[in-house]
Amino acid sequence: MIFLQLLISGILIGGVYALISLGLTLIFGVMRIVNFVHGDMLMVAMYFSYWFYTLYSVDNYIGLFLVVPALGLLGALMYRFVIRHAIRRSHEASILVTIGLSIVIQNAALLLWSADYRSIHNEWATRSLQWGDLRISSPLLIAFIVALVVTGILFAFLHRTYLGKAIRAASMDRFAAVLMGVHPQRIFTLSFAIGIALVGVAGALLSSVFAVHPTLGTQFLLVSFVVVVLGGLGSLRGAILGGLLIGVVETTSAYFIGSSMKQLVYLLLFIVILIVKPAGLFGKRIPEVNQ
Amino acid sequence: MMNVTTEGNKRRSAILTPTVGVGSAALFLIALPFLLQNQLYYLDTVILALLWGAAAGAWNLAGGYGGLLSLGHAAFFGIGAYTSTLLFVRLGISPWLGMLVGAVLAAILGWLIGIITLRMKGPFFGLATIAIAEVLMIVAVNWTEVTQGSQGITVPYKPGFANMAFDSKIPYYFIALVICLIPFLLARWLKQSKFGYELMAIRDNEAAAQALGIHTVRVKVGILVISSAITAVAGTFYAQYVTVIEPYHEFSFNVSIQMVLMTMIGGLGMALGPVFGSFVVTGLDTLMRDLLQGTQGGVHAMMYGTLLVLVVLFVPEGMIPWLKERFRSGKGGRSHGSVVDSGASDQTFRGPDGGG
Amino acid sequence: MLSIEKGYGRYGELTVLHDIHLSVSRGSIVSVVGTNGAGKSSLMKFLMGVEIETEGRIWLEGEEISRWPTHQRVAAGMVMVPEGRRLFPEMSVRENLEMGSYTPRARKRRKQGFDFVYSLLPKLKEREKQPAGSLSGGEQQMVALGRALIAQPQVLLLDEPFLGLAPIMVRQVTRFLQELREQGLTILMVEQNATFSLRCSDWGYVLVSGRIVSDGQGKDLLHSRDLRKVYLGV
Repeated sequence: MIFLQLLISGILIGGVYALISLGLTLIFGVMRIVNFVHGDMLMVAMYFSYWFYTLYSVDNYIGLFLVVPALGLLGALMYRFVIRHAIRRSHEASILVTIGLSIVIQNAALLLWSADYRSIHNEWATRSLQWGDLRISSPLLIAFIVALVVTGILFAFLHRTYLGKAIRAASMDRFAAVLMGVHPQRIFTLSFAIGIALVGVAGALLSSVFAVHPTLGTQFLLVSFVVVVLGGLGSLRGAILGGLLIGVVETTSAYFIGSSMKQLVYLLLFIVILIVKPAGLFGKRIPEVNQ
Repeated sequence: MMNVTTEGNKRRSAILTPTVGVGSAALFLIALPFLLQNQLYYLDTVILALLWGAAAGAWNLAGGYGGLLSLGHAAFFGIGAYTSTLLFVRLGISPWLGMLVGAVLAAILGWLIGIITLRMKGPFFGLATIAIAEVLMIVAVNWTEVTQGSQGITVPYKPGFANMAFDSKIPYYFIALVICLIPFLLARWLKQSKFGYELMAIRDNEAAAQALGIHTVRVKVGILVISSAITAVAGTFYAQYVTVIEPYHEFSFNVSIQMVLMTMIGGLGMALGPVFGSFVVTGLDTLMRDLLQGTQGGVHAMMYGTLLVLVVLFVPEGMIPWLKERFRSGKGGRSHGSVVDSGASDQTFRGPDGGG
Repeated sequence: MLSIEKGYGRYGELTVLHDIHLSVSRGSIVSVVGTNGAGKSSLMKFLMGVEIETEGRIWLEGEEISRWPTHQRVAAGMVMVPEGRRLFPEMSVRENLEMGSYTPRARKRRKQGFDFVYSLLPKLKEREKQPAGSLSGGEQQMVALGRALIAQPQVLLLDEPFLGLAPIMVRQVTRFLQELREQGLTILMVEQNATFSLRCSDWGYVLVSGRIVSDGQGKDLLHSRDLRKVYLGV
C-alpha cells in the first residue's frame, strides 16, 4: 500500500515538475540556452500569488489568470533586453547572464519581501482526500490536473497553430525555419515568454502547496535540470515523462532516506545520466552540444 | 634612422622597466600590511580579496586556460575548509598539514571528475559540476556526527604558527599573498610551457588537438587536479581566517559562481584576471557595506549579479584587456569577440539581424 | 529580376565573396558552378541574408533588398532550398509543406499551393502523414522542393540540387526544373556538378575562390576553356 501512496504522491508532484521542465526544455530546444533564472521565476510567480491573496483576497487559482500573463510579459522583457544579447556572444555567455539575472532576482526578492517563509492558507491548502488507505493532498491534486490541462493546451498550440509549428520547426532546424520566413527574434521571444508563463502556472498552483522564500527557486531549478536532461534536452515528451519519474524518485527517496537527503538519489542519477547517456531518453543529437 | 645610443637605451629599458616594475610591486606588496596596520577594516578587505583571488585564480587555470567552465568548484573549496578544520578540531593536527591533506583529497576528487566528465561538452559539464558540489553539500549537512551538520564548525582560537592562527592580521596577509601567488605564477608558467600550450590547444579545438597527437585526457585531468588542489588550499586558509565554516556556504553555488564572476570581470585566461576581478568585487562589496551601513546583504549581491550581466554583455574579455585597449588607443577601445567563444559558437545571426 | 552588384561576403575576418556581379532574368534558369569551397553556399547565404556579413547591393524585381531581413526576403518571394534539404525531421510531410506556406502571402494561397505541389509531386500526398525524417533521400528532395514551391516563390534558389542523386533522379530533377521554368518560375542554382546544371541552364557563372571568373550561355560555358581550367586544372 505504501508504494501506491508513494507512487501517487510522486506522480502528482511529478506533474508539476513536468510543467516547470516543459518551459525549460522548450527554451533550450529553441534557443539552445540553459536558463538558470527559470527557478527564480517560479519563486516570483509564487510571491505574486501570495500577494494577490494576502492583499486582495484573490484566491491563487483565480490569481493564476493574472500571474501567468505577468510572468509571460516579464519573460519577454527579460529575453528582449538582456538574454538576446548574451546569445549573440556565446552559449557560455547566456548561461552566465541567466545566472547573473538569477542572483539579481533572488536578492531583489530578499530585499523586497525578506527571507521569511510565506504561504497561502486558503481553504484548499490543508485539505486532503482520503481514499481507503491513500491520502491525496488536495492542492497537489488540483495542481496536477491543471498542469495536465495546461500541457494539453500547450501541445494543441504547438501542433495546430502556425506560430506553434514555427516554434517546433525552429527547435528542429533554425536555419531552415528562417528560410521559411520565420522571424527568429519573434519566435525566440515568444518561446521564452511561453516557457516562463508555464512556470507562472506552476507557481500559482504551488503557492498553496509550499511556502515561498527568496531562495526557493534554486531547488526547483536543480530538479528541472535533472528532469530535462533525463528526458532529453529539447524534448517535450521527455520533460513530461522525466518529470513524473523524478517526482516518484524524489517522493520515494524522501520516504526511505529522509527529506533532507531526498535530492541525493536523483542528483546521483543525474550524474550517471550525464556520463552514460547525456542525450537522455528522447534527446536528439544536438550538434553544438551533444557530440 | 636609429643611432647607437637610442638602440642601447631601448635595450636597457627593455630589461630595466620590467625589473623596476616587479621590484616596486614587490616592495609595495610587502609594505602594504604595515601601511594598513591601523585600518584593520581595509586590511581585512585586502586579505579577503587575495584569498578569493587565489580561489578564482585556481578556477581560472581550468576554466580560463582549459576551457573547463566548472560551476561547482565550491566542492573543492569546501573540502579544503572542512578537511583541515576537522583534522584540527578532532585530532589536533596542524592546519598546515590539514591543508595538504585537503589538497590531496580535493585533487583526488578533481581527478575523478576529470575522468567522468571527459566526454561532456558545453553545458553538460557545468551541470555535472553543479550536481557534484550539491551532493557534497548534502553530505556535509547530513553527516552530522562528523561535520556537525548545518550548525557548522568553529575553529577554536589557539594562536600560534603551528595552528595557522595569529593575533595580528599581518601574518594572515602574507599567507594569503603567497597562496594568491601560486595560481598566478602557474598561469604565467602555463603561457610558456608545453603543457599550457597543449591545454589551450585543447580549449580552442579539442578535435584538432587530438589530431595533433596531444594527450587530451592527461592534460584535461591534469589541470583539474591542479586547479582543485589549489582551490582546497584557499578553502583551508578561509577556514583559518574566518574561523567559522558551514556547509551551506562552503559548498554553495554562490561560492562557485564567485570564482567565475571574479575571473570574468578581470579577464578569463589571464594571469592577473582573477586577482583583479577579486579586488574589484571585494572592494565594491566593502564600499557597499560602508555606504549602506546596515547589513543589506541583498543589495551587495544584487550589484554582484548586475555586474556579472554587464561584464558578460559588454566587456566579455574582462576589464584588463578593455583597460589596455583604452589606454593604448587613447579613445574608447572596440570590443572584440568573446574569448569565451566555444568552438561551436552560436552566431547564426550576425550580419542582417533577423529584423531587430 | 534578381541581381547582385558589388557583392562582398564575410565571416568575421575572413572574406569569402569578392566583387560579385550577377544577374538573373525572369523566367530563366541560371547556374553558378564551382568546385568545393569556391563559395557557392556562401553566395546563397548572401542572397538570403543569413549567417554572413554582407556588403553590396541586391535587387529583386526592381526593389533593393540589400538590407532586408531574411523573413522579409522570403515574404517577397525569394525562396531557397538549402543544401542537404534541411527538412524538419520530426514533422510530417504535410507539416513540412505547411511550414513552407508560412509567409502571409503563401498562407493566403495555401490551398492552391497544396493542390499545385501535390499535382506535380503526387508521391508527397501518399506520404503526407509520415515523418519527413523517415523518407528516402530522393523523396526528401521532393519534399524540399515542394516546400519551396508552396512558398509561392518568384525566384527559387537551389543549393546543390544534384548532390548525391542517382542518375535517374538527376534526369527527373532536370525535367522538373525545366517544367517550372515553363510555368514562369525563375531559378538560380549553385552546383558543383557543372554538367548537370549547365546542361539545363540558360546562363551560367563560374565561381572560383569567391570570385566570378567567367560567364556565358549555359551550354557554351559547359564546353569553355575557362571551365575546364577550373575543374581539371588544365
